[in-house]
Amino acid sequence: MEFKFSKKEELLQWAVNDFAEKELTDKALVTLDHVPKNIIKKMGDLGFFGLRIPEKYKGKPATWVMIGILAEEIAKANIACAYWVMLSYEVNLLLATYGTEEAKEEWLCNLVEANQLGCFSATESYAGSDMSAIETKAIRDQDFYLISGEKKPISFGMQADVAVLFVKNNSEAGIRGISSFLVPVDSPGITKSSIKNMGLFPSAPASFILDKVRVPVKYRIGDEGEGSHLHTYMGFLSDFHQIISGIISLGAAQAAMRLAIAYSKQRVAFGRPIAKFEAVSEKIAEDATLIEAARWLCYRALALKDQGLLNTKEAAMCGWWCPKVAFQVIEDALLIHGHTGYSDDLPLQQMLRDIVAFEMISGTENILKLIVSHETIGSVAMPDHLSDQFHN
Amino acid sequence: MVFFTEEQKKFCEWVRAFALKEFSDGAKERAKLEYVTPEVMKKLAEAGLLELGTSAKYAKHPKDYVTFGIAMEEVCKVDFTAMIVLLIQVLVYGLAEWMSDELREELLPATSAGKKLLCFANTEPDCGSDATAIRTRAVRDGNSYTISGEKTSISGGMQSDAVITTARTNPSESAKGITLFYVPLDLPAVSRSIFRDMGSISAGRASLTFNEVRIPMTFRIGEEGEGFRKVMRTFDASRVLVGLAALALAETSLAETVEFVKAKTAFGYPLSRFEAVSFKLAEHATLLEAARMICYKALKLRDEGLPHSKEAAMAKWFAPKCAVNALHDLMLIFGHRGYSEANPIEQRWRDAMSTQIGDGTAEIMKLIIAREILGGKFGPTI
Repeated sequence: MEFKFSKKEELLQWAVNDFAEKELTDKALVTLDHVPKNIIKKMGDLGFFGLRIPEKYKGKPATWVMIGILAEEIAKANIACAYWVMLSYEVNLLLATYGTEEAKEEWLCNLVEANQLGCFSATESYAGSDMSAIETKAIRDQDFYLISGEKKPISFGMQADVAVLFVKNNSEAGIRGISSFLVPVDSPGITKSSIKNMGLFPSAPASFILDKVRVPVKYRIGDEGEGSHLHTYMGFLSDFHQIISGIISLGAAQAAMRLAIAYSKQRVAFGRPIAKFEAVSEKIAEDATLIEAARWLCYRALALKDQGLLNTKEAAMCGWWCPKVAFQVIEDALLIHGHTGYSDDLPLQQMLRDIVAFEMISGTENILKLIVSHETIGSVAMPDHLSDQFHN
Repeated sequence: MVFFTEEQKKFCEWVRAFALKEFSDGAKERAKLEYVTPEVMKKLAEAGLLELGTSAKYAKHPKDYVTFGIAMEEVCKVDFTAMIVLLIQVLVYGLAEWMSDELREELLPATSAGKKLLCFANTEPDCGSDATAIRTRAVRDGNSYTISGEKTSISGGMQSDAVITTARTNPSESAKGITLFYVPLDLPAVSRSIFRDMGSISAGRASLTFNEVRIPMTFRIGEEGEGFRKVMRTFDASRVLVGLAALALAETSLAETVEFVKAKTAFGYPLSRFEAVSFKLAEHATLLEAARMICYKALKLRDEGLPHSKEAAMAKWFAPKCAVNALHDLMLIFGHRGYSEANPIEQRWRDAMSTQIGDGTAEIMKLIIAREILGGKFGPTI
């Protein structure tokens, strides 16, 4: 058992940390309604979007652990940018693995180099945890599909050039009637509108109303009906999504805890630094313990993936627990700062608002715990009406 | 509530109906403003809700603190911006008997009519929880005082017409060197600046700087060196009322969530049919009810003239914490809807966070409780 990064992984950690400290810590960034394109482009130039993407498409070989390191180090400086990196990988990896050759040639290099930006959505007003409730339809019309319906919320939807959307091509087939498509956001028939959230403002969340949007068959990702295999609780991307959103949460939590530690040494009450009070020091001790445990859980889940082993259970654990840990750590850090933590003079209140999004991003806590139940107890623990959603 | 008197029950029904009728419209928009609107103050005043706890003969409502608590809870269920206006009465009426006649006659009619807003200041940049460490100085000069220093984190500070502030009149004493003063905020030697907060935005939280502010003797409240003790007496009431205001936010959201989980389906069933959802609601309903009981018990003890500092401290840390935890979980039950500004729950969660900090942190409350239950010899050393 070796709990350490390889030399290559360590080098990446240093490089990303250095970049993030220099480029991503500007306070003004967190309240923008987008991630500035020049920042995304810089990340693209540094190869941040190309790990594990074939070299033919401007990528380079890497471990899954390396993507985790990348996300964690960026999140320490800027949560929204880390989220951007995570979603870019979902688009890029999906396209690289299941896209048609034509679609890859047209889009993938540009996405990896950040000349163009991708976004991703399965969710609808009435379909979140329950993907079988997706209502947006794709109707085949010779070499095209006509897509109609509403997808929302779509993170980075207001900013992206192309979207991967999960829609129904067969309304009779439930979860097996879902397919995914690459859809250029400027296609005729798409109306975008912005959604105002309580946090994570630069994620530019949008609603897309699609009215008979014509998408060529070559833009279908995977086969018809394969959508749920690509993106559901146990699909191609789900473990990645669960682990990386966990790691991002913990990156933010580490940044918050660093502030709390510094403040506890400097702030004096009753004639001593508040770090001398157990009510403060034990809180930090507990939070440090939780971060340590949660962080290694994430890296173990990625290491399993690197070894080609199943990580379904571990990934789902990351998905529900790490954001919860992060929320606690950031809330504690805010409260340790007292009233100064509550104002925007410090980044903590915004971090707390941002982190709530991560408590939902991988699906609700309940759905993720169902996966853990399934993996630890067995199918007896599954509600009958959910059984066809859980396929391996 | 089982132990409400008939009179209190009737008041509860009346104030609930009043709040729903008068404050439902526009509550969500008012929560985003950096001040409490004059309309809200006017309506509270006309309904007699700014004379709670007063000794005025013409007061419309019973003057006990349980009634005050009911008003706070029911109004804040609909419009949380009313909290700071309701709360300041504790201080105004709690300190009235020590005010000079001039000050009392000027102040009380104006505050009970909702024409004047006051705030209270003790916290300074270098001391919050350590409340007796204040440095703001008040120096006597014949029949006036000159006050200099910086007060910070003052709820209502941007909007208020005047502040009741602590200041040090004797630098060689600790708590006994602190005196209370009434300071009009329109004096040229006063400057203020606002905090941009994550919630409770209408409290317009401010820093106040006194740069040799001259005030007459008549603006001193109580004798020199009595300020801290007198103010502490009022805290036992305001802490409980803050707790009830926090609970109000969670109670409204709990009621809305109950309706949501009955209507929203997943996998063909209402969300309410999943234990992961329904038991969470059950748990928060329990905790909110328990917190509410502590609050009313503390107020009841106060009304009966019995000691209640311990219960008030329990109410102040436990109720805000239960409220914040409940709102956090309820927001997650709403999923991405809960995260959007279209749903009032995110605003309520952000508002409730402030109640964990203002009027004393959880740590200070636990210190008070620990002292009470452990006694001087074994209790905390500070």
